[in-house]
Amino acid sequence: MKTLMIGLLAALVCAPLAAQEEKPAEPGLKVGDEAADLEIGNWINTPAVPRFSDLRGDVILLKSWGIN
Amino acid sequence: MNELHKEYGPKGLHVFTLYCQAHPLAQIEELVAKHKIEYPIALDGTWADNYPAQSLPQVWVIGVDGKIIFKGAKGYDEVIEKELAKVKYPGLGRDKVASEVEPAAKAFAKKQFAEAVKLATAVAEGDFNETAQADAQYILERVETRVRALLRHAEMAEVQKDYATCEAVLKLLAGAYKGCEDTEDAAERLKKLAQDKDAQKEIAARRALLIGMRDLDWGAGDLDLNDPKVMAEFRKKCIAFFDKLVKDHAGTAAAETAKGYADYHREQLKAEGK
Repeated sequence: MKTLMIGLLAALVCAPLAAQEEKPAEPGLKVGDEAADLEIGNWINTPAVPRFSDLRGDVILLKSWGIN
Repeated sequence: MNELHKEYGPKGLHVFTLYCQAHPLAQIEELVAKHKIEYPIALDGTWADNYPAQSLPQVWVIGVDGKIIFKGAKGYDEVIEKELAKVKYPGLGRDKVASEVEPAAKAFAKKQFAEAVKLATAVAEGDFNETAQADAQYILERVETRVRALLRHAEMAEVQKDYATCEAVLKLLAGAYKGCEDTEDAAERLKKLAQDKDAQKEIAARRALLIGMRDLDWGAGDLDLNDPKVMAEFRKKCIAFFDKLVKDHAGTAAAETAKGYADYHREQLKAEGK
């Protein structure tokens, strides 16, 4: 599976993908944690809402996905 | 996902997705068009620390209190349905209002914000009890706060030359918020943005940069970048692309970004003795 490197590409300017894969896995946010906002460079169907915190009181579904 | 977005969106569900593979932009856009996907898809950013995907798909559900209530790959539909049952008035941030204010709350929930303001104002300024007036005032402030946040967001996006975001925000202000205070010029600004040659030039440059970077990313997936020679060739390819973009889209913020990337690769090549 070709994983996305472009976020890293933007941050580190085309640093090797292998280097990213060798990093220890980040556990990320867990159930019960306060949700963190996203820092996004480019969207398809750009949303107008700036922050998750602006949606407090509603429900948010966030999904990571790819074509295959 | 499209079904969830369409069925539950009006009930208070917001769908965001993070595209986590390195496919070329055209391939993703083809998929979006084929499936008529309407929800936002993030193409790049720095989400991996908070929302890492060890495998795909990975789902997080954020509840009404702003906390994560689900993390996993399956079974989130039930969690969403259960959480949405708590949302009586989507977007309002509370599930109870005085009966006199219910029509305003319902209008708010339907994104009829000008109507919500009109109905809430009638209660706030009318002969009603304190609770009803406080609830009406809450709705008025909620709309005002949202409009202010959106205007700020549009201005920030414009300064950063992120015209896609600016356009999305202005569309919302000129649409659902039409008739609310301070949104009067949103439609005009939107029109001007569409006719602004510099903005269109920036949009084209930004898109060219995105396409090129995704192509580089896609191509890099098959390379052994631990091999110094392969890495050097890859860097040269990156430099060639970024240099061309700087030339083709001179004067844009995207060209400035590309110049920074090209310089970085040159420095790395030098440091790596290539």
